[in-house]
Amino acid sequence: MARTMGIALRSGNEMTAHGALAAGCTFFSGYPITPSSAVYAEMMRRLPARGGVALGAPDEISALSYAVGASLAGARAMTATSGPGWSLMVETFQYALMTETPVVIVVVQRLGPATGGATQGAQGDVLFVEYANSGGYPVPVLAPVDAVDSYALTAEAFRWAEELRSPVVLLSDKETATTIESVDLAALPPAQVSPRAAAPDGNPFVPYRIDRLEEVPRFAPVGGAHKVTATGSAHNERGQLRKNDPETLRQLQHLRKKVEARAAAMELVRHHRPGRGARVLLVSYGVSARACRQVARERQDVALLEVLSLFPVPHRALQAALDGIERVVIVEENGPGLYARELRPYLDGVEVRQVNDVGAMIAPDAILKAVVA
Amino acid sequence: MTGEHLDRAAPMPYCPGCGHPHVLRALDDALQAVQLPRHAVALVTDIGCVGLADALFPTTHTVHTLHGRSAAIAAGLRMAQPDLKPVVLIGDGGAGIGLLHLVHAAQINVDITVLVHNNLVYGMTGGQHSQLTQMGMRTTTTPDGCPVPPLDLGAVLRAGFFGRAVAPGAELAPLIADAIRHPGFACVEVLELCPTFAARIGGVSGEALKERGPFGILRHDDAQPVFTPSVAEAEEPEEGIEPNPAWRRLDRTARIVVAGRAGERVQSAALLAATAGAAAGLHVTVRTDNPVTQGRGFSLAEITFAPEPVAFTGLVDPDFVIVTAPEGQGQLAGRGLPHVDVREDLRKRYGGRSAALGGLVEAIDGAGWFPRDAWKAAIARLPAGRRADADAVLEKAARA
Repeated sequence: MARTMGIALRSGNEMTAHGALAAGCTFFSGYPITPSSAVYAEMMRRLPARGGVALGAPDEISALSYAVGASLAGARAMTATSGPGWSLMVETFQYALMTETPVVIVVVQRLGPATGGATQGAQGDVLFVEYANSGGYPVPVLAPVDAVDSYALTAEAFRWAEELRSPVVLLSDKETATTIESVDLAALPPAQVSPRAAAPDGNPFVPYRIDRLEEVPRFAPVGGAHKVTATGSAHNERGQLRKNDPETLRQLQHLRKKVEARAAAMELVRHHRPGRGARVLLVSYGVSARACRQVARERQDVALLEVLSLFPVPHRALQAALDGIERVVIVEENGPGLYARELRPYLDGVEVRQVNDVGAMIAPDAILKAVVA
Repeated sequence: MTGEHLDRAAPMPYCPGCGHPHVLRALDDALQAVQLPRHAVALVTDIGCVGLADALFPTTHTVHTLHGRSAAIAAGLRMAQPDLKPVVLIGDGGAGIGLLHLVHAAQINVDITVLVHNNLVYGMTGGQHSQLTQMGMRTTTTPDGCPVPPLDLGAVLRAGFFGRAVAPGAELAPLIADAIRHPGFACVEVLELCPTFAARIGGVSGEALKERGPFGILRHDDAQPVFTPSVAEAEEPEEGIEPNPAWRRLDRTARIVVAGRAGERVQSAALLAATAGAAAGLHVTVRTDNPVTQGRGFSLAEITFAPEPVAFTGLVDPDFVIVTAPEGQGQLAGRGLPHVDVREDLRKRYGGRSAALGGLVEAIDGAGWFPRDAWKAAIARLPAGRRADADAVLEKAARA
């Protein structure tokens, strides 16, 4: 695509769609849900013109199943939803996890539980997306803070999905997704997504063959020259149904190891540090990180770590950011401080505070209180 | 590369008397008859005894899916790989739980073939009644007989191709072959016996199945176009606006709230103001809010202009609060904003549908954040049909 120039006014949802297109997305299936619907509309508008397939599904189960089927045939596939739709997708999501099928699922958070508040923002799905699988297998989750992030991290989600052969969640939120923002088109980072490592011609193809636990199996598309055996049931390397033989259990270990082994390289954070004087570190993500930016900008004694890769938890970057820090303030728009539970194990020895709320964006003033009190 | 798909020497994993092996052999016969290249076929299996079939097809693509989702996964495969013919093997239970997937695949007429192995019960889980169980039939969950009639799949799906047959039976393989040849969604409902539950507990005999017609091709209609990816015209290149730094007069963060009535162009006015701000080299965000209804109730836009990237997008000490309708006014109190009267003067001057834009232009003009030229640059980017209205508002605002 020719690089476009100038300043555009775009929502995070639109930028997510554009990031997907830049990453070479070839398949999108959607189902309307506030506040993610603009991703669906934008993909329907733009993907066919690029030779891709975009269609509306009759429910979220179908939307993700279409995307997973397309990916099994080699497409770069995405769908977009919000919490209620994610609830329906959880089964097929686990199928993608088990079959090692790349797919990007955009989840734009709104107030929950259940249908909650369609047009009310929230950050309540952060653990729901990560832990919505039996066995607690690691699922990469990326969270944009602004419109440019929505573009860049969607492309990054494709990169991870294809490289890891795994579902990847782009976890946005109502404000990040629907707020319109001036974006310098020429400054957008280039999207670099490599094709899945293809199975070589000739050799007998063993669909889940790995030599090392952390290795990602070579891919062959259903419909190609290699006979593919795919299954969401526990399976050995050949894709044969087995319950608990050593080879099958090794495949399950592999699902964990392939992500864990790459966790260091997957860490994505944005560290704002005003100098060596900062004693307080704000840690936040998504919409709440923007309020933190406001505070950090105005205070020389406050540093900020914006967590872009929520999972795997970027604990190395967190450790590095703790240098000289006496107090950590974790800011997120949910009641109990859900992501704080993930961070606390890495925060021994520093004072930890939380700023949490539901029903409104967390404002800079509320954060400032936790900084100075 | 055709020939047998099914490994006929392999032992079948099914109970003695089960209908599934007959269906699989008929499928193999049919695949040989239609002579598709081997790799152009994918067997997509559902959950249940029918899902044990994958292992019997050693050289054909097999995708073992979730309960009920097989047709949707198969449709996705076909949409991404137009040379592929997915054949879905699903039971009566799977057809029930995944009914919407079958309905939608038939509705969009995606080119897959679905074989519903209707053995009248959920076999793998212990003989419970399904949505295709015959009325009156005893199952482990309907000890007094199934109280409701079975779903009429043919009527529900209205597929381009729908057929029914009994397994075993000589009519089955040719019927499956016709279904696979059909260019578009095709479904064959195969009536067969679960020997353990339908026969032993339900008392259904193979002979009785044969009386449950009609059989054969029950619907064949090529009228509906087969699903093909829509091909759109090449998209128009989307250029951003070129900022003119000479127009930038604002050296701090400034905020405006516009609160009005849904349907009165509050959001498009805010977007135009934001575009004008961008034209003047400012960073801009527009945070929007509305109730779940799109055309009734309040509509609210919070615009932030700043010389540097905007951090917090919410309302902190707005410079202007413009209320163009009572619906918007009601929203302010809950957001910690001062009570502001509805600007009847704006409604009078510009009309309800242009009051928001008029208010924005007047406020920004008065504050001198960017000049008229920036507004004009923004208006020039509107669709041609909308420019005259916006120009008129700009003119009126100059006189106000």
